[in-house]
Amino acid sequence: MKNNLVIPVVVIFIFIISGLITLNGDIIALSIPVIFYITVSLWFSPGKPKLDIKREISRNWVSTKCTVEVAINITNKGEKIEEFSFADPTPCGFEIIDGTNKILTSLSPEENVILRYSLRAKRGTHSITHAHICVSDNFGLFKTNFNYHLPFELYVKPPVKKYDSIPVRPPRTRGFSGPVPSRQSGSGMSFFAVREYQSGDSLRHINWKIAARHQSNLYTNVYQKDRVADIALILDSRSIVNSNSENESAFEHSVEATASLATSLLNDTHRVSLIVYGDSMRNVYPGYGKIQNENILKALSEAKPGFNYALNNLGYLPTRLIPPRSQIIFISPLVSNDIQVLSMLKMRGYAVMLICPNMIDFEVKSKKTKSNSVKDIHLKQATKLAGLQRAFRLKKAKRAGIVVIDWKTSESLPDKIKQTLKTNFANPYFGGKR
Amino acid sequence: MIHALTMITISLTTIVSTVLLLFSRYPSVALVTIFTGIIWLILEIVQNRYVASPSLVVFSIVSSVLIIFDTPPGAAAVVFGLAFTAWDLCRFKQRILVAGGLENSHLAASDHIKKLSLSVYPGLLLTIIAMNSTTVTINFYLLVATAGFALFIFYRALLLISK
Repeated sequence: MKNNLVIPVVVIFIFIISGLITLNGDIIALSIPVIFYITVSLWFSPGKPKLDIKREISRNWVSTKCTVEVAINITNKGEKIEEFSFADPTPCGFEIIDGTNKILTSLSPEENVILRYSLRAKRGTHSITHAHICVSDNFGLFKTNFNYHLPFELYVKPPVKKYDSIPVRPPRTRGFSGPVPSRQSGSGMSFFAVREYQSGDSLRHINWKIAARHQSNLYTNVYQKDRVADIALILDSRSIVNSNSENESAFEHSVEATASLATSLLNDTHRVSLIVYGDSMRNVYPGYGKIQNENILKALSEAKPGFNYALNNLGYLPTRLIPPRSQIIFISPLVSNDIQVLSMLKMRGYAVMLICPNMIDFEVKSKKTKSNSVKDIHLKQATKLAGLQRAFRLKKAKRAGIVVIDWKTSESLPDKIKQTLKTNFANPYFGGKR
Repeated sequence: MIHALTMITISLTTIVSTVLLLFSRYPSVALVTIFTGIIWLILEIVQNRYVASPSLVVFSIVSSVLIIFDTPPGAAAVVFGLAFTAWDLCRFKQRILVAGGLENSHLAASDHIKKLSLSVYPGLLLTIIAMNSTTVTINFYLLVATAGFALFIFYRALLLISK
């Protein structure tokens, strides 16, 4: 028996039983309206509905700030449906801005209903496979619930901040001209060296001051070739390194930083690749331009922190996917075992830059907003200890020749990168000029 | 509108049953209807979805008790009719709430009430007739003709509701 029929049947049962006990026919007669009610419901109970439902969405590849318009067109191809209820599920991370995704109506044959709503979603890949439909009689006693196959996929790319050009200095550059000084003489903008004049040299490049000192010879200024670089972005999505507060996840900051870096580096015409290393490994092979940027953003939209026993250690990082002696930008809060792997990469000839979001600062701030428990002395001590441990870890990485960017998520990352690189590139230890 | 109508029907059910019980042999039983009615009203205001069904069961028992207490003929049927209407309106309101409120519902409350009236009140009328009638001897052919006519009326009523 259907749940909705239980109460009317119980009422009929009460009247019949009490009528029989008291031998009073009037009490039994009270059940007549209920019987009428059930009969009418049964008469109008819906059969198998024939529906034609189509969903139209304005776009399925959006940023977090964009709204998506959804229109659902429902047409009844069968008999009249007394009560028709339609609900489009809202996955976690969806926010309906305008309109509604639910409707309760009656549908005559060939009647058409259009449901419109606009939504905004958090970063990620959101998919809906079915819409929930319920058809019933006038009084909701005889219901038929079913799911209508109505697939819908929405990719929400991470927010991208506009960064200025990020100066990188990999040991090896590629053949095309770009913004990275290649440590080779050739056509370029920045001064590299002076050599003896050779026939064919442009007169505009002759260094007249030196030529004046040497009466028999002429000297030419040589410039440094500016070339593009191979850059591998590695986003650490292991759940052991990423922490969450109630409202926000530190991982989102890392994803946003990776997306902004990728966009900025691709705008500088570099060849960029991406590895998301965590619960699974997602690669975007090296490439240039806008299509590569879209590929990277798509991969980042699917990135989520997770645990995979096989990928728990950074030692399994597939270095074969990274071009030799290229620039590696590793975005990770870091655990102690990772330093060894990064040092190993540095020793293999890669230029390694570590962007390390400060998880301790993030967690303390999230706790501060939650309550005033930060005053707690134990928490203070724990914060101090964790801070010391982290500082030691970063110092170890710096000693290994890794460019370390200690980034508080509340700070601007490009400013922090520039500030750090300004000091590092002046240091010959990192291959820069004095 | 539907909310106000539900409240009015619950109040009417409570008032009518209480007055009838106060003038019956055991006025103290009226406390049960007052208590049930108030609880039903309060929980309906806070949109509790589980209160309507137990309340209907209580008022059904109260209707049976009214017949046993020899209240005026048909009074029990009126109490039950009101309680049943209130229960149905509560369920209708719940269905609208589940669909996301009145703005998502294209179902008119007036249509629902019309259909409810056409499906419950003929039954209620039959009940009142049955309660007031005494045993009469009817010719068999007349009985068949009356039954046929009743069936025809019922069929027409169903067609009317379906439109």
